[in-house]
Amino acid sequence: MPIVVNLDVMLAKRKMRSKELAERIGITEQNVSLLKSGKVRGVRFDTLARICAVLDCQPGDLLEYQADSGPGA
Amino acid sequence: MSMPSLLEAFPARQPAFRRRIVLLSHGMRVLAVVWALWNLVNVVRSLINLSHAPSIAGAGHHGLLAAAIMLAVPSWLLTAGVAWCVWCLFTTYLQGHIFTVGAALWMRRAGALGLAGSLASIVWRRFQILVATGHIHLTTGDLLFAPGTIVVPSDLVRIVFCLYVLALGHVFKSAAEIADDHARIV
Repeated sequence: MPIVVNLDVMLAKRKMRSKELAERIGITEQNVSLLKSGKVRGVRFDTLARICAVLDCQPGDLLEYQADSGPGA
Repeated sequence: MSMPSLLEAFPARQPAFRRRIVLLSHGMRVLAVVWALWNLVNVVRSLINLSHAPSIAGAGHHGLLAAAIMLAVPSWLLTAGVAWCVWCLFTTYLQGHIFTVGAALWMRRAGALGLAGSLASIVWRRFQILVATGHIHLTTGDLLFAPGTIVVPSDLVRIVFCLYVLALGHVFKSAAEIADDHARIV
């Protein structure tokens, strides 16, 4: 997947733990972990909006397109 | 939607819903076993009757009896296979996995084996009729194309039912895969 999730970078910048983010946006810690590792099929806009609100960032800070990652990556 | 999420959607109905599913699943498993055993008794009884038929016992055509056994055993094995698939399908339901790929696959197997069993039982019945009426010089062509009734309406109902189960299995499998995909969207 050429879309890379930079959630771990943003969490580190904000010095926030996954558990706290999960509690504040109302999803399970397991889902946050899957999101961090990019092992999800997609992200709902409302989840993305809540993450941006909690981390005070833009969707572009969390998601990045890397053309050379290839379709199977 | 998986069983737990299905139950979460209707919390007030959970106990009654769960009780109904458990009762239905146990009932279906028992019926599947009874059906397979009943079929076995019928097959054995038919073989005993055939062995006493004048065209076999009187004329000493023991090869026909061997052919009968060779037709009856696979036919019953397909029946037993369907019963096994039904058992496994309802065991899966009892474990709470209702709309899952696993359950859909058991349903598909039951439909496919049932279809094969229906066709085998038509050939097996035809064989019995031909032997019982003294037509002992049998070929495969005789079994399938000799004049007389080959397929009766109840065969057609069985075939339609098996095709329906097979199609339902395909639909459930696709639906379960879509649900799995959907569950991976956070």
